[in-house]
Amino acid sequence: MAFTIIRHNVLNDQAATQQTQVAGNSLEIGRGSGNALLLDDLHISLRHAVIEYVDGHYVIKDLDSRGGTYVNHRAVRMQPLSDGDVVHIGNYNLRMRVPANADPLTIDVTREGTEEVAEDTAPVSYLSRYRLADSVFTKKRLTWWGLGVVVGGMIVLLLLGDIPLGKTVWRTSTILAPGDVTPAHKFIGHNCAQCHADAWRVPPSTACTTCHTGLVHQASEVFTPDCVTCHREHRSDHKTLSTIGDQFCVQCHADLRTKGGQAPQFATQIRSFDAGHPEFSVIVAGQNGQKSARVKLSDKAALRDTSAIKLNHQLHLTPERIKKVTGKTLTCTNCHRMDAQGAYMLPINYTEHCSQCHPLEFDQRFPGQVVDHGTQPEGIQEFLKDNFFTARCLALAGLPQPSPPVGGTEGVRRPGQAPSAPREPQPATPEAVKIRACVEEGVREAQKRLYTGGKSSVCGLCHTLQDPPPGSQLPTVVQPEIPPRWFTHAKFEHQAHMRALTAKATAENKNPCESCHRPDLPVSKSTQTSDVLLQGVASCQECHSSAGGVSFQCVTCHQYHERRVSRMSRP
Amino acid sequence: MYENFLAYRRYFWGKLTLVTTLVLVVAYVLYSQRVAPNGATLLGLIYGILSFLAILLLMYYGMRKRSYTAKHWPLRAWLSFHVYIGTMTLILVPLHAGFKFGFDIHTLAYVLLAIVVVSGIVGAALYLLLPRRFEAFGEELTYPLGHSTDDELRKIIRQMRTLAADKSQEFADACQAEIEHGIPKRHVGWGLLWRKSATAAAVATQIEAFRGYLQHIPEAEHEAFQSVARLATQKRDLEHRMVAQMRLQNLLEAWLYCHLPVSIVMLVVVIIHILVVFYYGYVVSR
Repeated sequence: MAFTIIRHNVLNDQAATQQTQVAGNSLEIGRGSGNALLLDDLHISLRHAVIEYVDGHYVIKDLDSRGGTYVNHRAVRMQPLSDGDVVHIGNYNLRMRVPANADPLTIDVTREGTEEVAEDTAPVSYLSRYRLADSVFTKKRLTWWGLGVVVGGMIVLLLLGDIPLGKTVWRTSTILAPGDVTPAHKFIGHNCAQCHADAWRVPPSTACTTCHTGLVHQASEVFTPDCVTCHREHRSDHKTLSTIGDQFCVQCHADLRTKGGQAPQFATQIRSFDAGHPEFSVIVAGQNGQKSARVKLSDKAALRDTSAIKLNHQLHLTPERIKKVTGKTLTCTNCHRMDAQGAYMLPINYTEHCSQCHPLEFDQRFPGQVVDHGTQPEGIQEFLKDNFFTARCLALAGLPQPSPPVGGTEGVRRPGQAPSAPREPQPATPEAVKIRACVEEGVREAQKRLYTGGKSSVCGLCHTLQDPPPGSQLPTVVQPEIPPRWFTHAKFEHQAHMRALTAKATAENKNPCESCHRPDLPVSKSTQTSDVLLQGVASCQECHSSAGGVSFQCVTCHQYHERRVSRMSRP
Repeated sequence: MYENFLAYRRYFWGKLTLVTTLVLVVAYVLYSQRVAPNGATLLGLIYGILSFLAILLLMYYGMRKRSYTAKHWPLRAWLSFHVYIGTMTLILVPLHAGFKFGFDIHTLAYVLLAIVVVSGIVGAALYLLLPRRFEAFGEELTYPLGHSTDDELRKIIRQMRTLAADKSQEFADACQAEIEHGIPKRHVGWGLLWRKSATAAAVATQIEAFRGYLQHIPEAEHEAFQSVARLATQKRDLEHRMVAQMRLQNLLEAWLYCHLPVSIVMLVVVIIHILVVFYYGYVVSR
């Protein structure tokens, strides 16, 4: 079977027809391009209906279309077609001419509504009700409202001031601040005017010096920057205001000048720790009336430890030798211990570090009997003569002990105590003469053991003994000056360095202390007291540099404000 | 072959963004070992400048997509750049700030940026997923949707008015009631985003009810009323389709009503942020 499709169109106000033949037993109708009868109308489904030739009849079937299929204005699912039937699909009318014989079914296709309809007197637009662009909330309005909320809200908040939020308060004055103040300044709260004398202006230095008094750098500096030049507040990342960039130091120290033009005391061209930093210097105490002097670590000839104490590090750190004498070995940490902060080494203390091996015994007949450390020979003599040997000699003679001195507890006056009350004059009996001779001999022998023979004497082993002053027969022990810190212009943390160096040194089976003290003359090889066992700047720069990767900012070691630290100051 | 904007030039911008982000993060981690990270450090300033440049280029996309004569880079390249680099700024800005946030205008700038980026990601996802649903309307190539449907509806209404012009009062009333049905009385575009459209069965029931009105119409006007009923069926169907189309279209556009205004506000806040920090850092502190 076949179908003849005749389309009736209007082109340029002229009626036109277009005839098409379609072979086959079925004719598919729809909006999709695959249909034999294509009807261009949005109301029509892509596959809308089909006309089939079944048992000698043409039957139209609706293919579950959205708009439905109508025959003579009645909606149908399946309907045999008769001659003259009009099928309505969308805006199209299909008039059927059903042949009586086997001729093709002829379909006249016309489109409704192609003719002009009445002018729209009340235009309607669905789009304006659905389109987002036609709502009150246009993008432009939302933008202006957003700007108003943010900028206006900010102004309002700034005017409102503090806002309570439960137990806390939100300080709106910080809306524009780059960050909160440092913890040390938290006590100021948000009393901005305490520092900012003028709103939006940098606080004057007087705002700082009200509390921070007496801070100076160098009296001879060419200019003194305002506090806020270096100390930047409102940087929430800064835990402390002393975190200062190198640029603030280098602005002067790269080309150092002094007020009045006198020669600068320090290096004049320092750009960073690894560029222009001079060799470290230490203060060497003057001897024989000479003044103390700054000596660079590289100046080996002048570099001497003049601490007036005798110590052979090698002897103490050689296990075989020290064990032979004491029965145990020593390491650096037996004597050198860090303070609670892990920064500096605590001072060496005789009682704690030396007395166990070096007891100040004065008479081999009385082992365990010692004289006081830290007392000059004159005081020692008083103790030996008036107390110790007197008591011993009286005991030997079977005579009663003298009454205990005022303030004493054991009948023995210790050095530094007030002398006991004058005794009653005693007659020069033979016993008294004998006892006096006993005492004098004991004292003489004790003093010989303590002071005579240089390094073989008890005191002379470690201390320098000066010849007796005029009118005295006793030497003077030179007071040692072991500096608690060698670098008075720098700070240092032993613990941080130990943490970093111990693992590496242990792996290399080395003493970690000797990583710094000192690579070219290890402590365990040092025999001379005069050895200064400190390393030079180059050794520090191995780690504290761009290549080493460890912080090397100026403030890592230095403080701007002079603390007036002397080499004998306790850290 | 069709290639979506994310896959432009074999994911060129995606790969570049990934590598750049990794480099920036590694540099940040290394740098932060030596310097406390924040916006005022050298790296912080570099990241800040990069962020600002990225924001300016991202904003330029809005101008570029309206420029049909621009010759440099196809629009799809710009869109791909826009999506990937925009996402990267979510990481870049915290790197600039050293991950320090507070109740201030600086954090507000980042919050607004995050809103812009997240709404952009939602928009990109919708653009990738929703167009497949346009195929149901056979109007894949005629975005924005609804224009032809609107034209068709207005035409049907005009036809119904023409048919009712010289008819009885019952006919005219029924026709006018049908014309008024389905036209929203107020703007309902935003409500469409979460409103369910009427089912086809419900529409069919309404049409049957309208056809039942035939018994009140004079017999001489029955054929004309059948035509009106058919037009009403088409109208209801088109209205049903219009709601579905506009719902899809509004879903595609709604995110822009967040993305664009917030991006402008964000740019203003970023400029305030820059002015404030430079004022504090280089004017107040000097």
